[in-house]
Amino acid sequence: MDFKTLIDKIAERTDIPTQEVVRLNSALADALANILMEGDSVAIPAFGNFESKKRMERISVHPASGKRLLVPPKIVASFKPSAILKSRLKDE
Amino acid sequence: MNNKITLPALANILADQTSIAKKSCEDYLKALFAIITETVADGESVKVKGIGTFKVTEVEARKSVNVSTGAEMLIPSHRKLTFVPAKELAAAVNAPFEIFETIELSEDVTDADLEAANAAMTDAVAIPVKDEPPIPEYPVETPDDSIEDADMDIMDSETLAEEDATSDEETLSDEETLADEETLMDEETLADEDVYSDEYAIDEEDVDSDEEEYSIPNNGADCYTLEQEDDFSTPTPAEPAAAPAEPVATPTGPVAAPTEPVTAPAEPVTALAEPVAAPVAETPLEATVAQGDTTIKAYPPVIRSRKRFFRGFALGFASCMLVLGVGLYIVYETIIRDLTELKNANATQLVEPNRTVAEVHTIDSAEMTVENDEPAPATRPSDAIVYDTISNTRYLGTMAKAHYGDYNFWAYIYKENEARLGDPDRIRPGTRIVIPPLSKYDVNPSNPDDVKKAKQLGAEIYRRHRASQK
Repeated sequence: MDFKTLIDKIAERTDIPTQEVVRLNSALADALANILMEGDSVAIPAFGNFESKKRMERISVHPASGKRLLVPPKIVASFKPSAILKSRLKDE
Repeated sequence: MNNKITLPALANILADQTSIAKKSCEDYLKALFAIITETVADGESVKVKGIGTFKVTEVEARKSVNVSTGAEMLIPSHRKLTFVPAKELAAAVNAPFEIFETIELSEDVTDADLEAANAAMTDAVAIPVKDEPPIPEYPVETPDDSIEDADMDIMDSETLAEEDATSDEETLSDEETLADEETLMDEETLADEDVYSDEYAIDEEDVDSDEEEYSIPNNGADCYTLEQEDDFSTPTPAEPAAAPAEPVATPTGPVAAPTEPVTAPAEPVTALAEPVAAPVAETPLEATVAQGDTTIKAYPPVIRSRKRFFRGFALGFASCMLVLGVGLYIVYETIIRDLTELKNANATQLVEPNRTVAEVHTIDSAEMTVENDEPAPATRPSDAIVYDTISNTRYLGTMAKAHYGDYNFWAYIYKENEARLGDPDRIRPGTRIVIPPLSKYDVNPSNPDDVKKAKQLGAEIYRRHRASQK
């Protein structure tokens, strides 16, 4: 499902004008980014948790050139689906 | 920092930002996640702008072995959810670390060099403390240089595996796609972790590792980073004091603001900042490489050379001593504080018209000699009763040493407090006991005969308790 249909569906279901839904979405993206950057997590009941994880630096080999690269550490946004969501996926 | 933001709290944040009614925000969030759940349950993926894509992937049925029973079992095919963060989100989350770039290692840096640098790194006490706060806690169990052989192997296999993965994907020659892939992988490992609590537990993980050929080594690394994050959250007594200062000093400017977990990941990075500035200097480069290695170890120590073991042991011993020293200092500090409080109380009580300041002073000093008895000479001049409290670092032997100047005289302290103490090997911290003046027992620590007598008494006490136990 692309973003447009998603927005339309939300607007339809909640009676919020589409424009406001778009605004809310961008606000959500900002809020999520801020929360995750600070190392906090967001728990959505029956859906899952958004968390940030730290990836350590590592050495990888460039497949084409064969050069070894020191990949810097980074913080990665991750999502952990809840058990309910997972079981729903498995059943259907 | 490590806070869990709930849905209502998130709705509040949205309401603040957009000045839309809080109820609408909550409705929006609920509808959003409900729709995602429904769509995903139908097997369709959902793309949310600015956040990411929720994808459904098929997992084929495969055989596995129950680890505990050894029985073979079939894991049915199922679907699972993966989340790929949008570029904007990934960039925003990684903002504290975005100054770092991938560095190309020069050809002449061999694996042996890395190993040597790694060993040198772990030898230097200061860096491991910053680098891996948990190490000083369990130094003897994990002398990290002893495992480095294993690390190198792991690392090799990792890079190999990664090579496979990337060549499979054909197009991946730039960093970004690599990174994307990695996040994908993260999802999987995350999912796996969750599944641990399920019945399929380990088998589930096997499923993944078979399908994605590159999973196994990376899984290991991921597990480790997870562990490490856990470790970071547990406060280590003295060492972190030095650590937090680091990110501020180095060019990791944005890191300084966020709270602990974010600063914690920054620590190993700070060393990396050096080579960025001067990549030509070979030794720092090696050093950072070594740090990269140390991150991958979560694997059981295989063969530890004796020499390395002792080095690790010495390191551990040193850190133990440090912790002990800090503990003693704190105890000493509290005693001093009590003392000054007492002094103040006395001063207020005793400053009466008929007493001079000098008198007050002498009283204070008298008080002090009684209280501050620890460094006092062997036999105490006054017969005043002194109290002491048992703690983890202060037990009968240390008290005897402090008050009488000889460990063996613990027996007299014990004798005085026998009713309260019970078994001499099971004394409880926090017990307040009386330190008897030795004149009561007519013994003197400077007399060798009395020392012998004290030893005999101690042995007798032990004998009595062993006998009563049987």
